[in-house]
Amino acid sequence: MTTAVATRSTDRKTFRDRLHNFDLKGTPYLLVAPFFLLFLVFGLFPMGYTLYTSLHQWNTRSPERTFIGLENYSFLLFEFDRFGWSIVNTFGIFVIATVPQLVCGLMVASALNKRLKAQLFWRMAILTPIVTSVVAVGVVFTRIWGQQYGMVNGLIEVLGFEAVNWQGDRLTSWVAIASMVDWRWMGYNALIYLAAMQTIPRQLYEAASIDGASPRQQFWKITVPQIKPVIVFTVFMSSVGGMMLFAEPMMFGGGRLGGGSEGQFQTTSLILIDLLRTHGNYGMSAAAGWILFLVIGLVASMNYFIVNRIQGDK
Amino acid sequence: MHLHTKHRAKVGLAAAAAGALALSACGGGDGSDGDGDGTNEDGQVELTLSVFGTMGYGPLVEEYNDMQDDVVVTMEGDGSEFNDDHLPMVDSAIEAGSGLGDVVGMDEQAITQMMNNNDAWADLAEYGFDERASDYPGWKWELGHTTDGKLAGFGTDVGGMGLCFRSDLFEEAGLTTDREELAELWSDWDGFKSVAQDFVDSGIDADFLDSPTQLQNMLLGQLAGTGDGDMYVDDEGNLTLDSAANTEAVETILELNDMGAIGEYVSWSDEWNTAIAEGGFAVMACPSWMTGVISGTAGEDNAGNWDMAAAPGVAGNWGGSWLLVPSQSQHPEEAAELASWLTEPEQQVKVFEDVGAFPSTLEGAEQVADSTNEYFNDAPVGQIIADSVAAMEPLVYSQYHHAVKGAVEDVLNGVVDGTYTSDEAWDVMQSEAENAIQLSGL
Amino acid sequence: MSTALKPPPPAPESRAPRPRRRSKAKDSSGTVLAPTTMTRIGLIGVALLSVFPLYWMIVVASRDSSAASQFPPALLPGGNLGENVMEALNEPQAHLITGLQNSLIITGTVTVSVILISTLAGFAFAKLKFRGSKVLMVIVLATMMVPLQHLGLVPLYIMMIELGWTNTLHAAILPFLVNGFGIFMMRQYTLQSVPDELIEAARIDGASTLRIWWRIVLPALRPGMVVLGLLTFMLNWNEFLWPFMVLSTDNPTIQLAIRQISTGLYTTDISMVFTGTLISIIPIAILFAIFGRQIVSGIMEGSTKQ
Repeated sequence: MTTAVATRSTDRKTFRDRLHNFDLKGTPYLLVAPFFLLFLVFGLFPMGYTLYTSLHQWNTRSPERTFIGLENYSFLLFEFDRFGWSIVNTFGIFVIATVPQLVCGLMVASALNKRLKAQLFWRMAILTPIVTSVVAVGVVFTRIWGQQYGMVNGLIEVLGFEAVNWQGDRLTSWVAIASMVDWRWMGYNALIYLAAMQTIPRQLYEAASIDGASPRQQFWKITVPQIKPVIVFTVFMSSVGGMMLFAEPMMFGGGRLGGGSEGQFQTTSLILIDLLRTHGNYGMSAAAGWILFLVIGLVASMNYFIVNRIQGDK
Repeated sequence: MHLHTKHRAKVGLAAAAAGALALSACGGGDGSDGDGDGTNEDGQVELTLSVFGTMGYGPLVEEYNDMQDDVVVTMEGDGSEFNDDHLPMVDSAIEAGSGLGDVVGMDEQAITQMMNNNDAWADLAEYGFDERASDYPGWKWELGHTTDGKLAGFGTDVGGMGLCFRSDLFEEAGLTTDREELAELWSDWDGFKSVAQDFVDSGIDADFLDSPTQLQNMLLGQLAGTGDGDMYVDDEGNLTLDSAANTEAVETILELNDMGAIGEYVSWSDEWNTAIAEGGFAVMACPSWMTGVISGTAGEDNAGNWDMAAAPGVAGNWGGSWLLVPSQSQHPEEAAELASWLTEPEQQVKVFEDVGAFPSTLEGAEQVADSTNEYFNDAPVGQIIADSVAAMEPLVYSQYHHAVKGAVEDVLNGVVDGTYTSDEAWDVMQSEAENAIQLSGL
Repeated sequence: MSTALKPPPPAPESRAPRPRRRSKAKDSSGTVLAPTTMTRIGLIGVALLSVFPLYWMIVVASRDSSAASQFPPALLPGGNLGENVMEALNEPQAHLITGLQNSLIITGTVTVSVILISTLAGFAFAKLKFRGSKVLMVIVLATMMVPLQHLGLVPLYIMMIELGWTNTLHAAILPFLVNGFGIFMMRQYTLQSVPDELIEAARIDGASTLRIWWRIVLPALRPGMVVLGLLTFMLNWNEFLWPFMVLSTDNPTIQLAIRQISTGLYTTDISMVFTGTLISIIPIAILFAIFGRQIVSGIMEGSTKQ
């Protein structure tokens, strides 16, 4: 290649120079262009169009778009109780899912951080749930939490208590749905904690041992503070996912979008899709989409803020 | 040389990506989007029949394809749920102006909403199909017309009404299992309540009824037919929850619930399905098409455990569908022929024998009037349903019916699972129904 | 929820000098502690809990439908698996085979495209100087935080309707090619594994940018590409919401087929539902069995890589 270039004539060389110049200046943009084009068409444009749609009355029964300002928003926020509750439900399920996931994840990670044989086996074992899809988890766990024929209630009755209608109440349905999230993600988070734990310098533990600190003390005094940023990060990453919770409550409700008889486990995403599909109301579901976006934005900026704070503390 | 192999690998990678995209485009292209002129390379007209639930057209489509050479029919949507899958698909395809298929199944709860959209449907009278009017009872025929009078399609089945019951559970509860006697005992709804009370008093480990919603549909269908026809809401979106029909239906349910006669099996849920097989409840409202649901769900092991008796009260209807031809079909005449053939009495009888949907044509109903169902202890299903249909009054559903219906059913489920007390029920129902109308965009 | 599967970006700051990786697994731990018996028992318990629902799926799938409603639950597989598999595959309303095919096409296309787009852009962000690269990278990071495919769902859905693309596979594919995580990950890999000197040397030899990408960057990124590919594949195989919006029950992805088989059919046999569900996870389970080591290390490195 280079020898071929050397034999070229001078005017060709300038062309080649120009080409080379473009290669340095222009090619980088070409390399990143596919992503940004796709982002423009499937990311940015839809967000803007959602905003436009949300300001209109537009549904399958009145196909003409009529500008109605913020009416869709005010209905969702101030008149339609279920919507406010859906945000509560979403957060509630998120909290119930996150706390045990965090505690178990940390404990498992710290167990795996010891001198164990067959590390890969253990890691893969706790990671197994990740092979299942949300739909599959929904199918199995909905059976497990069934009122009449479910395994959990079977156990409760054997122990002499009365069977629980898990779908019937807010709290019980949250627990059931959170269990699906928990089961699927606990091992995954444990591995992330484990990775962070392995970066903790061994000398810290050695010094603590010499000072007579028990394993428990070492865990709380060394391990947890050292990996705090990672913990915060996993919590907030799962919070963004948690805000979008859809398939688990849908499967738990027998494939329906209503989230129980009074919407006790109807997440905001369920309402959004319900508006779109059951009611064919494009305008209002767009408004619901923007509210959800703002909520997620809020959570994400809290995330950013807190992570910064923690780093600042150090 | 080395460089060349690498280069070839690169080209290969790019080609793989492009190929995958192209493949995906083809994979989608043969969907229902109606590109091209709707004919295949042999010059045959290609028709798409878009159905939902268990309409039972699989064997008939095969038969139709075999008996003539001009048209090839493909069926889509078999087994899809009406509210969650089929109706959103129809809505979006009407909005898009394509993708609707050539013949579309439509359930009674959305037929009015569809017929309000004059532009969406072809006029089959143009092809001389208005001659089929005499096949049908007047109401079933009329509901298949748009508001500006186009004949959009033909009725398939009617629900009619019966009550299905588990004879094994009735026996365990010490009640009679004779369907004639039971029909006598619950000839009116007060009689039904006293049977329910006896069943509850027996203390056996099963609920009397499955859920409030099945019963609600049945009661409402009956009572609205005999009264002024009002149910939940009129076509302008004004709620009529205090209609005579709805008031009596809901009060009956509240009373049965206070008695402890209604189970917490949400209709169509996992647990409901299991309970049909495992004997979790003893009685279920049974339009004709429900017999197919029960036998399919309970399976061969339960043959003979389920039985059917005439329903309490008067005649009435729950369910029934139409086959419509959308204006976006490229071959409306061939589509109309297909829809007409599928709804002819002879074909309706085959569907009844296959999946239990009761013929809506007069002749078809007559032909099955003395059929019995082996799975249901040889119950005279034909006669029970035919009696209920013969005396029924037609119902007209408003375009907001299915939205409000969902809200009302949620509240009833909530009363049964203890979310609301009976006293709260009416207030909650009113506010949830108002919301449902708002959500539908009024 | 797809967003949840995204391995979190690296911890914002490295808190301590990273110890050198040891070659043997048992030595890679940071502590000197040996596990107690309690630890072992606890771990065994967690591992059992992790595996049990999957195992139970197999049990019910290999018996008849009453197995799912018994208490105490059946714990040993029965002999009906083959029969149930055939029944599920042949169930005309479930479209399991179509679902598997569609999922393979969609997931395969998305995976190949994401790797391609990510390695190109990741290389540009890591090694090339161009005006605005910082701002553009911030945009990439922002798309990682917010799942646009889900928030822009309403207009995307309307777009697909107006383009007449509903029920086509490209409608299910295109929005998922926007994947900021892949770019971020490939940028990190490129920074780490491609020395600047190598690129400069190639430049002096007159190699074009694309050639450098192809001959120097890609070979060095191979392990990273495998991990990215695996994660993208798993993520998209399990995607539910968007395909649910744009595809139909006749032309489903495998996830839609499972929903249809479990909640959509008017008549239902639970053991068949579980069988279908089992079939749906087999491709991922195979990947997991073969590439388990890479997946584990991919997740762990994703969280600490600086």
